[in-house]
Amino acid sequence: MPRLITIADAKKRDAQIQLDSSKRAEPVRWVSKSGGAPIHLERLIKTTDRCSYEALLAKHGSPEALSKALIEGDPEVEIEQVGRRLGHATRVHVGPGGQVLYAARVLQVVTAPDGSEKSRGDFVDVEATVGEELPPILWTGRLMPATDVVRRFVFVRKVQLRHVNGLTFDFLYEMAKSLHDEKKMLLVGAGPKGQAPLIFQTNGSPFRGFLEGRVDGEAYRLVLHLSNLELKRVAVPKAATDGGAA
Amino acid sequence: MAKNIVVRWGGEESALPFSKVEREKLYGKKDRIVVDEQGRTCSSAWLTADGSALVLSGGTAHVNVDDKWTAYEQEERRAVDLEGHPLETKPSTLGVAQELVEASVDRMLDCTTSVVYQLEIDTIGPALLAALGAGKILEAPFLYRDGLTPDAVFLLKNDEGVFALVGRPTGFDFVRREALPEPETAEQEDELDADLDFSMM
Repeated sequence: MPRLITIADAKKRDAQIQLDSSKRAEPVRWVSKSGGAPIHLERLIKTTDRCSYEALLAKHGSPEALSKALIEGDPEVEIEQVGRRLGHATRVHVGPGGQVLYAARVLQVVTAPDGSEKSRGDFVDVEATVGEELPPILWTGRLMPATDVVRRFVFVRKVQLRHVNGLTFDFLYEMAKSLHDEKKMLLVGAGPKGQAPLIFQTNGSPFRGFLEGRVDGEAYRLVLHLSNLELKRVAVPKAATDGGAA
Repeated sequence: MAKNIVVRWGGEESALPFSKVEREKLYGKKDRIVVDEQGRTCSSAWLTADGSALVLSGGTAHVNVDDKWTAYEQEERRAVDLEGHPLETKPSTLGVAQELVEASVDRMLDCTTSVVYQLEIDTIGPALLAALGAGKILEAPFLYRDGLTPDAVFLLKNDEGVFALVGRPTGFDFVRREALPEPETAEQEDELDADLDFSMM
């Protein structure tokens, strides 16, 4: 089902339009090299709480006794459970003693870049700021050259704005054309002044948005580029130049 | 030792050590944690549907299996498309010189960035540094590890330094107005020309 949002143009007219996400990569299937049998991933149980180090230590009384038990047998393997499909399991929280919690408190911990804790408090839901029934994303008028924008911000998510009928075609085409003619991108935001971050779902990631438009004859392409990261250097020790997974 | 991003520009090869730029390194982070009544941090676990096992974090493993539950290692499988045609696995580009080409801002905007690396200016060759300093955006294929489809890596320079942004095309197309069906008036007689029968209503 298409996702709708409300957006306003430079004339402060708002309309509901459709959001589309990036196309997914071509689907891939995996088969065995030997016989070409279709292969799929299964999530299996490897070990349970009864086989954790703490549980085994409590059962055997001392590290020495546990070592002896490990040499003599396989107490760390629960044969009835290992290799079972996890299936439709329920997510639970477990206390330091290994007991399942029936009442839990969710906290938000804010940590500084150096790893120090800045604050800790009860977690409060952050509501979405963009949506079908929410106030429109505003046309702030803050235009920036695309050449500058790509050097300042990292766009980690992009959505395409599409019309839902003939009237919204004209509405979006005009927006795209004005940005195309200016060769600039428009900073957009939520809230009454368009300064609040764009949040697409409750507790979702907040983003800064830049609208980019192109036209080609009677066709248009209007893309909302979303960023939560500036293109800035991180202070790293000289030795630590390991890339990390892409 | 970690491999470098190796690129060639104007016949000059540069081996570029890189480090990941992440939000938490720039701005810190916000974590959600669960505590018990005494304020002690708790962990999450899975309770199986039949209630017979509590599986702590790290207590599961993903296994490649076929319909008969024969397990396969990663190297014992190959990728195919939906029609069953084999797909070629391409080797990682790290440590292998990749030819750079100039990319437009539009080309860069057509890609969604998945990872950002910062590069060290003193490892960049003079010709490449001059091109980046002149405002050029340069592009090369990029695969961190062996895979099916290479991403694009864009090299650019700003006031902060030189960065490599790894991205993948969004695939967004231009959209047109959908044509409404033509009214069938050509060979039809105009209903308004005929006598309008109001008695039927």
